[in-house]
Amino acid sequence: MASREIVRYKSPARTAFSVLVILFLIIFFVWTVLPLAIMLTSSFKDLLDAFKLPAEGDWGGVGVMFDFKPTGAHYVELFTEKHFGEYMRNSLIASLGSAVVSVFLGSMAAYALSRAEFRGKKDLLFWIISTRMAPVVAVMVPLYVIFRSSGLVGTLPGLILAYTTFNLPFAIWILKGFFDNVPYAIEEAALCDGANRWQALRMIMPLVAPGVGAFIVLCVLFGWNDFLFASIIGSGGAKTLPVATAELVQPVKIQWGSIMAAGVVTTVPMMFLGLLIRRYLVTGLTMGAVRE
Amino acid sequence: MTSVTIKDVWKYYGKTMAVKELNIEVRDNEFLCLLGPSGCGKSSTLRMLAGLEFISSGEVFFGDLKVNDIPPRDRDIAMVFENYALYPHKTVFENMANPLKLQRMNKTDIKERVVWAAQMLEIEELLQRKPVELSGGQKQRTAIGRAIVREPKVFLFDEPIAHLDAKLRSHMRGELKHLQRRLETTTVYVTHDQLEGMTMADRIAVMHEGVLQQLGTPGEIYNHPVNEFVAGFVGEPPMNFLDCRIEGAGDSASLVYDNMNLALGGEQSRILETKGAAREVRLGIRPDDLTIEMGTDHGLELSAKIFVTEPLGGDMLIEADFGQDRMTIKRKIAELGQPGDACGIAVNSEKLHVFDRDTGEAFF
Amino acid sequence: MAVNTIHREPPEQSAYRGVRRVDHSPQIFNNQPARYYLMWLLLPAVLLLAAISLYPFVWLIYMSLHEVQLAPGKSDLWAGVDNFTRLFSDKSFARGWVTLFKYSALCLSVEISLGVLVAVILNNSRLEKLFITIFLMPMMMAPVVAGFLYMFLYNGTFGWYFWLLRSLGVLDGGTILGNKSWAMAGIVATDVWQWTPLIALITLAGLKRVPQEQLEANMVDGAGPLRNFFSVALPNLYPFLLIAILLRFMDNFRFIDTILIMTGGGPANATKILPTYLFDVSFKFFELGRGAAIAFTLLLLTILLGLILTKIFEDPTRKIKTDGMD
Repeated sequence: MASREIVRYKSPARTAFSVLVILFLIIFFVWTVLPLAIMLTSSFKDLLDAFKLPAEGDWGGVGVMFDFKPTGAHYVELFTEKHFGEYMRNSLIASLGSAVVSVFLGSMAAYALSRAEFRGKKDLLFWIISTRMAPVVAVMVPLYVIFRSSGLVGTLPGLILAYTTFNLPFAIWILKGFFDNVPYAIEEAALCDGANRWQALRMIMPLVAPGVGAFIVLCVLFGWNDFLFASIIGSGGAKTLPVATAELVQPVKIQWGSIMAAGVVTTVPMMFLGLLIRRYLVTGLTMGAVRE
Repeated sequence: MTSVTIKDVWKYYGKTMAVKELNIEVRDNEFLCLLGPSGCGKSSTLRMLAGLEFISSGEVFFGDLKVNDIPPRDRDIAMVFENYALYPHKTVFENMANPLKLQRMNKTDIKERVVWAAQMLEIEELLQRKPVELSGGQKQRTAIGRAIVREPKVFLFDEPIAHLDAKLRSHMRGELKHLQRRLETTTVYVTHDQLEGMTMADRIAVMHEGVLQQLGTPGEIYNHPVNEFVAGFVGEPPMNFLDCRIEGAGDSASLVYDNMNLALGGEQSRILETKGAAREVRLGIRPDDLTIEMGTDHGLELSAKIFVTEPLGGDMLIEADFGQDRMTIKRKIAELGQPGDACGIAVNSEKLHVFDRDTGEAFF
Repeated sequence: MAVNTIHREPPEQSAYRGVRRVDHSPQIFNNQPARYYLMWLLLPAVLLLAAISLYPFVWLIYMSLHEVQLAPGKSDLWAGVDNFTRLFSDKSFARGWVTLFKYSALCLSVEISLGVLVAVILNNSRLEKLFITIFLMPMMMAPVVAGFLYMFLYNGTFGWYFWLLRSLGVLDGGTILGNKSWAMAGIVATDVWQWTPLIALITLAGLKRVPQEQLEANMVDGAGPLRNFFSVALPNLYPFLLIAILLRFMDNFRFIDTILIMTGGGPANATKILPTYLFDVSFKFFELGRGAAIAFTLLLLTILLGLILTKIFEDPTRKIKTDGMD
């Protein structure tokens, strides 16, 4: 826990301790990475290779994990026979659409909530955060009833709206935290410079722009990874990647190769996005409670 | 270039009173300093002038124009904020150009004005930098530059140099004063640092707990403070106060404290009598108006003991104990006393101040 | 010289303009026109949110008080509070709660201890950057995909984790997800794999906030590294860990994708946490009224946790944000 500057004194106990620590780190590393590696390799294996396992207790046989002839067949199959291109497009439109709507409306609302003082503001904020926290299964049925009666079930706009139920409160809450950190003085200076309110707001937008961008990405991530809404509200016309992946499970045979490939297709773009907004990730995933 | 009239202005935040019945007239081209400790209402007053706060009651005029209901953008003012409030994503040039851009001035004129201001402030070579790349002093110049480019009617400064280091602060005091003289623009300057007020302002308005205490030139404020608060707030090191008793009457009153008996002049005595001073009063005397001599056979009014001496280079600050109290004396002396040494203190009785112990008001 | 010494009464209240309450909001935002302007900015989001959350909520109330008929033409029957009272005698409902708490307790205890341990080891080490990058990967994965991936690893004929457990001799007969106690461990492991990194990242952020002077002062006072951790670093971490626990607990019953995919609540209801049970009631048995009543109890828990969370966010002593913009 100490910083690098703190002096360390050598002793045998310390050396043994370091060995333990390193061992632990190695195990943790393998534990974290191995599933990903298996997913990636399996997606390039044909059926026979994928099912190859060493005999029980045959520790030397672990090598078979990497002993295979790579094939792109699963990926080809996904995008030709299984229409994954279309599902990917659906996923993208639904999650991006919801992200843009949420962050656009959310940043306006967040600015207002940050700047205004009014009675009931705390209650409003509480309502917003609990909307975000509500379990999806709990609200799914009434939402489905409403969406069906408005003809939104199975459509992309419906899915966009469904994702907005969790993205909008998220965006409002987290962006309010961002606006709270912008000092009033800049808007006041702008007003003194001769700006009107709207111009004053524009003056502080560049300050929150990185955050706004990052939270658009995070909203995309939340929408993209959603399964329950997509499988129920989106069923029919708006199938997304997670739903399509789940549908690869068929009673007769589970197409593991394709599922792993679909997993890679679903996960890799999000990992890149995650790296892209690395600085804001923890803030986003903790509703703004933890800043790095 | 206009006068500013603050007439019967009150300011409330909810039920909390920030400014009480304030009347100040800032003359054309005058440099007026609002001076007071934090929470005295000086910033609220400034922000009301800027239009950033509403005026709860009363009127503010720029020249003959009542500005109560005019938003900041239409008041033709420029304000320099305590934390500079620069737009962090804009360069120094863009920061300074912003007010002109909002006036829809054309590009060549903007450039000319900004460069003119930058030259005046000696920040031409910084124009393409962003605020994060600037030092405190440079940020502050940029903020001032943003204020002067548009030749506003009134400059408003809200503690603009409070965050600079001591050396730079004293440099900027001179520059700001020079700049104001050169631009000949009415200026209201808020500070809690009495030195800034004393050195820069044409007139100082001392405020305390929302109430204007005294409005006058630095000389008047320093030499004739109207009450104990002003006397104690202005001047460094601060004035010494001693609770004394008046003895005698008519033309020959004297102040008695412990073993000290300080005879007052005839006029001073008469003032005390005509103003009906109570027996118990408070004596105020500035450290500069005391003289000190070491040793026991000094022949001066007061015998004291050195508590501590603080050489300031040229002058020497001596704190000396006598009776229950401690006094600060500022003098040039050759002989360095040790703590505990006996000394004598003489009072320049012409520079005495006497205050009412209850109301704090000055008799003279 | 003008001196204000006359004490006058303040002017009439009517002289106040547009001031209702001023704490910290300056008056450029605290007057009638500004308030209208801000209200217009706020309104679209609030209206939209109301439409997609309050309106369904009203529906939920309606459903919970009715026996909802799915066949066309039949109207819903008034049920009063029957849907709620019946929950008391519903063994699966009670078991759902127990399983939920058991599942969450297992997940959280493993995640917190592992996450804090990893963070403490990594803090300020050369490996910190590398590990942070690796940490991001599981977190970014859709829960459904994680579910499939672990099903694949647990598979009784070709799963690597199955093979590993067999080779270690800890798994006797049957498969991982087919065994009552192993199934719970299996889904917990999936959650631990995905979310321990988040705990580690939160802890790392917290560790960066531990005042260096406090650590140094404690060391000068004679504390060793272990003692230093427990007496200085850990108390500073509590608010961070509290947030982490609350948020992870919420997610434990907010997202059931992984469990639905991997076990569907089985075997023999061993992994049927309450939301999973609710899913069955609503989407398998189509008892929407009863489902709504169960949903209500879940929302109650949400609201409770939400209250705690907002308290933490408001409490200035727990202020764990950095000042200013990052």
